[in-house]
Amino acid sequence: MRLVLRRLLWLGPTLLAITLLSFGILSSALPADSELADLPLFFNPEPGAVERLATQALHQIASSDGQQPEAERLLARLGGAALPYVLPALDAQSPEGRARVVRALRPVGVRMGFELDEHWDASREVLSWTRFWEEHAIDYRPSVARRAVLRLAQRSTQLRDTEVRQLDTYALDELIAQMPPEGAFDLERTRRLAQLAADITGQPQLAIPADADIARAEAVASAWQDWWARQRSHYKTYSGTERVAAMLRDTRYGGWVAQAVRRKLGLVHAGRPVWDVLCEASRVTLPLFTCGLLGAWLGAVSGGVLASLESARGARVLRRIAVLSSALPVLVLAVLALRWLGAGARQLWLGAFLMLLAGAPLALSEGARGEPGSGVGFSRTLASLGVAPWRAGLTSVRLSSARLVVQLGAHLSNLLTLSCVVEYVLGLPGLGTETIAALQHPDLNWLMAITVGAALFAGLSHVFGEWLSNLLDPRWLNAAAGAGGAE
Amino acid sequence: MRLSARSALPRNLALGFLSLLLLAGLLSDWVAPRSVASAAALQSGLADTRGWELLAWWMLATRNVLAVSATASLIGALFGSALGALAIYGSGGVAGALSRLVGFTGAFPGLLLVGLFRLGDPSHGVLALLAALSLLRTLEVAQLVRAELLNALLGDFVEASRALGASRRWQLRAHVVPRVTRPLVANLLQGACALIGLEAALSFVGLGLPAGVPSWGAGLAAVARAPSLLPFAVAAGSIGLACAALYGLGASLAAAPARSGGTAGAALVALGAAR
Repeated sequence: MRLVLRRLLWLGPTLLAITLLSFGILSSALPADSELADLPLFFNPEPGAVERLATQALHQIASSDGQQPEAERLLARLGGAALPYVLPALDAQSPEGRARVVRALRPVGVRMGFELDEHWDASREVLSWTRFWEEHAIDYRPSVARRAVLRLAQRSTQLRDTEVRQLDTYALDELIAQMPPEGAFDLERTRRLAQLAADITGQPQLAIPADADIARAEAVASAWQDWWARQRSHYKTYSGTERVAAMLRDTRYGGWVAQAVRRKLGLVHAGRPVWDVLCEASRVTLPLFTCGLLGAWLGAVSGGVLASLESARGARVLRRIAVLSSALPVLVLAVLALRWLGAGARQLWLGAFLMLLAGAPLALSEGARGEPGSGVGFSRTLASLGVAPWRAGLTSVRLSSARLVVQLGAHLSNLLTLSCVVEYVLGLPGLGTETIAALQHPDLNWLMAITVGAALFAGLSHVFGEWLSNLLDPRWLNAAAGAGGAE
Repeated sequence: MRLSARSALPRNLALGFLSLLLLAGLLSDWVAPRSVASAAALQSGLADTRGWELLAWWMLATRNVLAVSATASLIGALFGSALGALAIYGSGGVAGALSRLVGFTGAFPGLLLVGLFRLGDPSHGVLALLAALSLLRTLEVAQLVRAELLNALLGDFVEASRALGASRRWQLRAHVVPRVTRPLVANLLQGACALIGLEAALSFVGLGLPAGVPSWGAGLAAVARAPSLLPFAVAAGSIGLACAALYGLGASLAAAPARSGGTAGAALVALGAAR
């Protein structure tokens, strides 16, 4: 039992290592999402880049003679979150530089509700921004932004709306945090906050239509949270422990973990949560896999019983059956069924039957080697002690089961692959069909979920097999310890 | 004498069929280009293929399947033997890690492993397929070699020869290598059978050899719903007969009377595989 517990405790770190490894491989192999491309994979040494980005853009715009469209776009996108770093630094720029910076800030001003005339003189615009900062610098604090958003969430008035709009992207963190509805009565609040966030970020597709229901509002709020998880690092600065946490969280891996926790392991291409698809597809795959296991068990038992009888003819028959079964791979049988039955082959029972046939040879092959196995001596002893044949038979079944459990670790991969192939050939909507589709048209969320699921399954089956084999026949574990296999 | 000839017949048939496959693979480059312009066109139009073109496709597919299976088997045998031999020197750490790795990989679906490798494969499938199949074989062979070596080195006859002053090299040559070779060859044959089945399954679902490269599995996928029976029979029959021939040869080799220690070694393999 101690061994089992130790193995179970090791599963956690093993799974973490596997998610890291799989995510690294998949992320480097798959084309990155454009929004995630500039985020580091696992570790962000500089989270909360708004200060750096804003200062960089400011210097590029102010110091260059010509247009800097990239920097201007960046400044416009950073918006209110960049103002605490841009506006105080305006005085340090040359008059031409200042003029260029305020021109770049014009889209931000429009979003914030300023009445800016494009025919204005640059100095007038600079003066306007300077005055704004003198009056409102105190508002650009997290606590003020939080209060303003909470007030707007409670009740919408023109003044409250203006307050939040003037904070622009600086208020996004609070806006998105307050957005998820807490019930049907919350629909209006979520719509208000989503509309404001959509106006600020220029994403009208993430607004909630007037006729939307609460489910749609929840989906939009969730989409905003996904967007914020990817973009947060561009609009924020961190300090203290929050900064340390952000070093891990504001990464592509952190984004995947956050999405997996919030969205039931993420979304597949079709937009459904991975967990829902996994549960649905498992209803097909698990019966197939169980039938494969059952077939393997039946094969092991019949092989074990025949071997314990020490019948040369039985061993020969067993060997012939094993060779015959290897001549009829399950792929060929499944395709034959498909040709014969056409669309009618899309039946779970047929897949289960094929898996039953596919599983048996895996265990039969061990018995077909003609080795006497561990059960023979036992059976002979039982017979010499006058034990009834049926009890000797039961002992053979138990010993054969133990042998199967011990060997099963090596065959699980085959059984899982065969289940996937049978599903695919027969057109059954199981895990295999989904996985093959996700491999053909790469889907990171599904592949991560199935990899972690397969690793968890592998680990658990390993532990379970060890426990069961020890239960059925403790000699296996002792023998393994003697061979240096056990600790 | 009659009985012996009867019992040798299946083995001879298997050897004959494998020789035919080998010959077809070797001659495919001379035969196939004369009959068709493009292997990819041949593969895609397999459902309507007859006669010489079908033969050309079969030869090309045989060559590709044999090349993949043989390469993966050889890589697995080489690296697996080396890894297994190294593992016996680290009874706790290396051996334990190896056992766990084999146990873990054993339960990880091969399909997913190939698929993941394939995503980062610049050759669109060949390298990924070879790497995944070789990895699976390497770990299995390593476990087998480790178990057989342990079994042979701990045998009484080795102890006795050491007491009589035999050198380690002599012991290896006289006692250990002969006892490891036969199970290893049997395992390689049965492993090659498993590889052919796996490659066919992967090519069938489009995750094996690159699209357009002839292989039995991809051919089976191309004719799965086609009305003509001959191409289907050729593809399915090739997979089935090749698997049966390899498996049968491996089984007959494994079932032949073993030197002392052979059976316990097999039991240790099973133990190691489950750990």
